[in-house]
Amino acid sequence: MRDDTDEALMLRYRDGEVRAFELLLTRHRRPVYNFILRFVGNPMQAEDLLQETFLRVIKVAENYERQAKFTTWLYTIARNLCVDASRRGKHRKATSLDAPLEEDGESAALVEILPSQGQAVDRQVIDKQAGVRIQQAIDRLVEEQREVFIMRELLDMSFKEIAEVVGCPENTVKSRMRYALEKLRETLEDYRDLAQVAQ
Amino acid sequence: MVECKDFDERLLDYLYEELSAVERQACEQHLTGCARCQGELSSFGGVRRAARQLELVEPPAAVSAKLMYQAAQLAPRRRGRVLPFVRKVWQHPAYAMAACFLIVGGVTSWQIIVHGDLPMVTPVLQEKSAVKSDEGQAATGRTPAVAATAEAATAEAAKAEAGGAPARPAEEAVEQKPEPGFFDRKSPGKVISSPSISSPSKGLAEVSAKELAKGPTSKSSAAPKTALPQEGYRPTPSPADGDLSLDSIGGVSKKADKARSEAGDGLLLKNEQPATGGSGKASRGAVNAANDDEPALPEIRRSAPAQEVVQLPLGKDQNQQLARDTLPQPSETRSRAAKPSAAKPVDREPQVPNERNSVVQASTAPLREEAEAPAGAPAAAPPPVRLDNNLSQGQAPANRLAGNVGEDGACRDVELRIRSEGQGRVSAEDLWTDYQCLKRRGQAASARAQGDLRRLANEFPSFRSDEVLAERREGEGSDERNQRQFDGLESPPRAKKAKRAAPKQTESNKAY
Repeated sequence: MRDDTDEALMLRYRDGEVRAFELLLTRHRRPVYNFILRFVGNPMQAEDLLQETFLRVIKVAENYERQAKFTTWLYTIARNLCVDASRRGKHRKATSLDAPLEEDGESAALVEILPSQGQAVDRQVIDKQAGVRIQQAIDRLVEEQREVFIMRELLDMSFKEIAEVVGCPENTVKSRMRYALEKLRETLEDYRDLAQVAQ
Repeated sequence: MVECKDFDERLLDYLYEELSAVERQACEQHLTGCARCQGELSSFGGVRRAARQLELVEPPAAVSAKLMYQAAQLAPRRRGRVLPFVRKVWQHPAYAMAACFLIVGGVTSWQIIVHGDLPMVTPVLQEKSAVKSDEGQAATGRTPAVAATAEAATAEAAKAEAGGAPARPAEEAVEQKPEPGFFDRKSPGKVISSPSISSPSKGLAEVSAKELAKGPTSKSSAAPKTALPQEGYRPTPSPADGDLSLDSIGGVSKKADKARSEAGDGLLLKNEQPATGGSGKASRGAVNAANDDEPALPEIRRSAPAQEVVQLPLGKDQNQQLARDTLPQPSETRSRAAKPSAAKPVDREPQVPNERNSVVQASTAPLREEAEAPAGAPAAAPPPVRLDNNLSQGQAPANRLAGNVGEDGACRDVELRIRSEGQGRVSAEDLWTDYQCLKRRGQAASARAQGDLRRLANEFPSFRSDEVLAERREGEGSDERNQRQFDGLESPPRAKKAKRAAPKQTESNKAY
């Protein structure tokens, strides 16, 4: 059963084998969670969206038909949930760590104010800062660019599959990916300097 | 040649390695000579390297546990074809009712097909049928006890009447019951025309019931109806049988057979069982007609010649004797036969009144008119009959009437009787009759029998006083005298000698 494809496992779970769903969850819970986490940027919300994503899989498993790739179907569900969550989150006011504390835009960010923890931890701080910056850069991407970038870089999905999940032409996905890369390049210029210092 | 514009279009595919080898080679050739495209590619590569700094985060275990719990709870039921249908039927009242009707109807049909009837209903029907049968018996006046008696009587009669043939069970006898107003299936030419005759078992049952109600009755009234069907051609009874009644000696039965033979009913069909007691209405009707002068006899007699007949299993001598009994008897002899002989000694063994002759005369009286018609023919002239009343010689009458010897001193087994005389089982007078019969038939007793006869004549005064010695002296003279006696011209001289011979017989009995 471990060698079965995702589609075969899903069919088994449709026939009542809970063990098949367990294998599917083991295979896809981590990338889906990271996709959701990178998409929404909030671990708590990511957990809820992860649970909601697989709950939808469970509920619609009875009518599952082997028409598309399971990962495409799964990430479509996650993406739709993330899109809905992000649309609802726009109405909420959240404090960003990397946002300037003052509205003039020149003041230091919150993350820069946080006290450092000594020399030994410089590397960790740089890595953490690099990660935070990368995450901030991703968060600043438009949803269409962000999702494509996450799928392409984190989930290693092809442009064709991303196009299926997103539901747009492949060239559109490539274009969105290019815009995302250009934005991230601009955002990570400082990180490159930090990365060169850390090395 | 790939230019920068073309490379920009293929930059992502080249960055994410989705180009073919040829296109990749062409892009690499362009990259080697284009710094701008190389800078662009390295900048995007830096972003990818920075994005790889993002590590995949493990989701919380609690989420996985919740999902597994939800998956187990909401897991799809195992699909099948029967279970969803049953669930649907069970949840719908109309479907449930239809299913119940189908199940009940199917089970009922199966029971009817396999068992032929509903086992639940069968005991009730049996009880109803039993009640109906009891009601039917009550309506016909037959109680179960009487029915059982009738069955037992039928079985007994079948045993008694079968003779050499195996006894037929009562059910078989009932099956062969001819129905009134229909042609007999086994004899197409015979019409069962007597509507008053009931079935044999029923008749027997009635008779048995009457007998049970009456108790012991007189022989003259009960014997013709009860004993006739049961008496037939029994095997030779032992001489020790002391039953000298008409029921046991079968005299009436033979008279009835004789009457049947006269009436045409005694001629049995080939497939018909011979003389089963009470098994045939016609036979019983014939017997009753012989005794009661019923007018049914001529009808049956007219229908008889059209049938293929088989004679009764009687011996030739027996037939002759039966024919002889039907002839008119001398009045003197008849009067003597009506009362016990005065010449019989008192000190002898208990005497049996000569019921045989009286019954024969009574039963054959209405038939004599029919028998007299062919009597004129010379072929029908029977040999002279010696009617004597001195048959009460110990066990002789029983042996004589019911045994192989023949009831009237038939010539059959005369030698056996002569030899039996030496053993004291046959009276000397019976032996004399047999000897006369042999003489008439032109036969001679064997040397041994003649020796025994002479020995008896020399030994017993009564035998000597009889005409044995005279016959021995006179030879054929006795036959002429017998012929005159038969014609009624001369009374037997034995009547005169009986008184004289009585004391001598007493002495001879003492010698026994």
